[in-house]
Formats: sequence, structure tokens, C-alpha cells
Amino acid sequence: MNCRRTRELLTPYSDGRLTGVQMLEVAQHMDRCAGCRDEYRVIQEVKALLRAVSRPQPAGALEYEIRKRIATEEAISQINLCLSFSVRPQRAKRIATAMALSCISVLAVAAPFGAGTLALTYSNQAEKNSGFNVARSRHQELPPMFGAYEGNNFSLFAFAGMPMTDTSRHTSSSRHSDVQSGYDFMAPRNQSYGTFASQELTSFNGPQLGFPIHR
Amino acid sequence: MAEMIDAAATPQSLAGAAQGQVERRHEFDRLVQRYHKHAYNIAYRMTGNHADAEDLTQEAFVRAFRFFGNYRRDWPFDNWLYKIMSNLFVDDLRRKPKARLQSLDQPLDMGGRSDDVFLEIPDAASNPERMVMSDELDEHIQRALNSLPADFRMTVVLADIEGMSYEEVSAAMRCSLGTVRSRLHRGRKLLRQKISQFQMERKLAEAN
Repeated sequence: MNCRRTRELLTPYSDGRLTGVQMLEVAQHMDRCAGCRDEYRVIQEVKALLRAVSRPQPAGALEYEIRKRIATEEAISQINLCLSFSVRPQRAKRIATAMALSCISVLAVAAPFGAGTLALTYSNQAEKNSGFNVARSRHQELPPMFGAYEGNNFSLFAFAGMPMTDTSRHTSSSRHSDVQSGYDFMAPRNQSYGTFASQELTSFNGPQLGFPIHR
Repeated sequence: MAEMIDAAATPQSLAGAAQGQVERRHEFDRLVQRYHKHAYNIAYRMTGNHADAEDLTQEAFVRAFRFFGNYRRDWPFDNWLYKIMSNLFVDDLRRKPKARLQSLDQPLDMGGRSDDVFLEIPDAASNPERMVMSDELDEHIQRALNSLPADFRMTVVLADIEGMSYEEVSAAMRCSLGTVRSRLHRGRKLLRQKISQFQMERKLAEAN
């Protein structure tokens, strides 16, 4: 084996990536060639230097910052999830942008504590005082979506702090002025009006079961 | 603020989708916790400074989260993350018009001088684990890394700093094993030259 061929193989040789026969040939060549030995030594030194470089530590807030951005990303994907249930395309982007802005602060607050949000399951039992079924929270950590439905008609009435109006079903909702983190939901067709309140994002200790209903 | 939404979803479909998202988020949070420091280290060696390293790390995780559905669970997550990071970094450089991008995936002409250049470093081969590096040398190495083209830098960082195998680097960088090998070969040579050059300049500066 000549010097040229040996030097081509020095990198894989130094990384143990040659066949046994090639390893032996390179080693035998280096036994009698000081130039290639030096070349090899330098490769080893560079590798050793790189192995020994310092490991700079990130700022303590990096993990938090990442999780905050993930929360934002997740909020947007939740919105897309909802929007995928057919919103007029030209409005979708505007809604998504507005909702993302409202989601960010809510989810960002939650992020350092384990990124929990409210759970949602949907009750099939009609609420006593309203003509529609409402969303109930049962688990600790699910995205905060609030919905109501009558029969097969489902209305999403609030999503991560963003009340919504469904004009096709004549339902509307708004933030309740008195109840913290609460919503008013109105379904005029059956003359129902409800106020839903929950301790949204404030407690991770226990599930919030149900929403107080006021006529 | 009221907006119109025609929500035709069934409650079950929404709740099911939401449950899936939560599980996905939990899994991802654990991965962030586990890998963010490591990812930052690579990003730091790639970008050469703290602020850009944090940006690159954040962006890589966000991108990973966005495409988490495509992540093949039989792949190590960190390799997949570094692949995203590598794409981000290289693409970002390509977008910057002033960035100097040269292809070194061709034979390198060392002008016959390369053999004369040697590093003045401690005898690392004898006991590499115990080598203590001065801040100055660390800085020289970073400067030398910065001078490498992005593809080469990433290859060297993944293989020689992170200790990844040729196969892992090849998968992370979407290139062949042969390319990994040649980039390592020439990347190390270029590093050697640059570090020597910086040391020389330092000595001259001190002498003056």
C-alpha cells in the first residue's frame, strides 16, 4: 500500500471503519512511513480535541421557552382541529390568528406546571335547566374546549378563552362578566340561556366536574 | 369577540382527538426535558454563539413537534431531532444571501503543504479522556468550526463531538456513508489547519 492510498484510508482507519485486512495494511504501511504516522497522529489529535471541547450549558429558561413555544404550536393545531370541522376558508385564517393569540397566554402559563389544561368529555345527559347538553370536564389535562349540543347539532361555544358564535344554529356565547373564566351560552331556538363557569387552568389538583348552570 | 364557526363535529370525535393530543404532548414534553441540553450543545457548536444556539434549538423542537406524527418510533428521537436541526441550519444558511457556501464534496487540494502543518496541543492520544482544554483552545476550535461549511461542520460535530456512528450521521444528514467519510476526512483536515493558524496568529500577536 502506498502513501496516497493509506492517507485516503486514515479517516476510516481512525474510526475503526475498515476491514481487518485493510486495517492491517494501513498499520503495516505506517510502521515504515513516518509521514503517514504523523498524518494519523494529527487526525487522532483533532478527534481528541473535539471530544474534549466544553459543553456549554443553556440558560435555565431554555426548557421553559421550548415548552412555551410547543404550547403555542399545540394551540394552533387545536384550532386547526376545530377549524377542520368546516369553517369558511376565508375566515379560517383570521379566526386561527385571533384564537392563537388568545391561546398563547393561557397555555404559556400552564406550561411550566406540567402543561395541563382542562379535560373535556361530553355529557349525553341533558342539563336540568337548559335545553342543550354541555361540555363537562372530567380529567385534568385536555385542551380547554367548551361545547354544547342539541341532538346531533354541536356548537363549539368557547375555545381556550375565545367565545364563538355559530350563526347557522343561532347560538352565541360570550365571556360572562361576573363569573371568572366563565361563559354565557345562548340557544334561542329552545329559549335556553346558560352560564358556564370553570376554574380554567387554575388548579391541577383535582378535576373540575361540571359547570354551574344558571337560568 | 364573536366569530362564526360552523362546527359539525361530534363531541366524541373532538374529545377523542383532544385526548390524542394530550398524550402526544406528554410524550413530547418528556423528550424536551431529556434532550434539550444535548440539542443545545450541538446547536452551540453549529452556530458558535449562545443566542443563535437557543433559537436553533427552539426551532428544531417546534418543528419536531409539528411533525411528531411522522416520527418513526423505531428511530432514536435525538437522531431525528438532529436531522431536523441540521436541515434547519443548512437551509437557514442557504437563505442568507451573504453566507459563504462552498461545496467541498470534491477532492481537496491541500497544495502539498498540508503535511507541514501540525497542531501544538497536548499529547491527547496518550490519555484523551483526561485532556483538559484551555478556554483559548476551546475558542480556537469554535472559530475553526465556524469556518467550515455547514454540511462539514454538522458532520464533524455529530461524529466527533457527539460521538455518533457513520450510520447515524448518514441518516441524520441524509447523505451516504461515503459522503460522511469524506466530509469527516476533509473537515478534520481543515480544522487542523485552522486551529494551527489561530495558534500561530496568537503566538505572533504575543511576540509583538
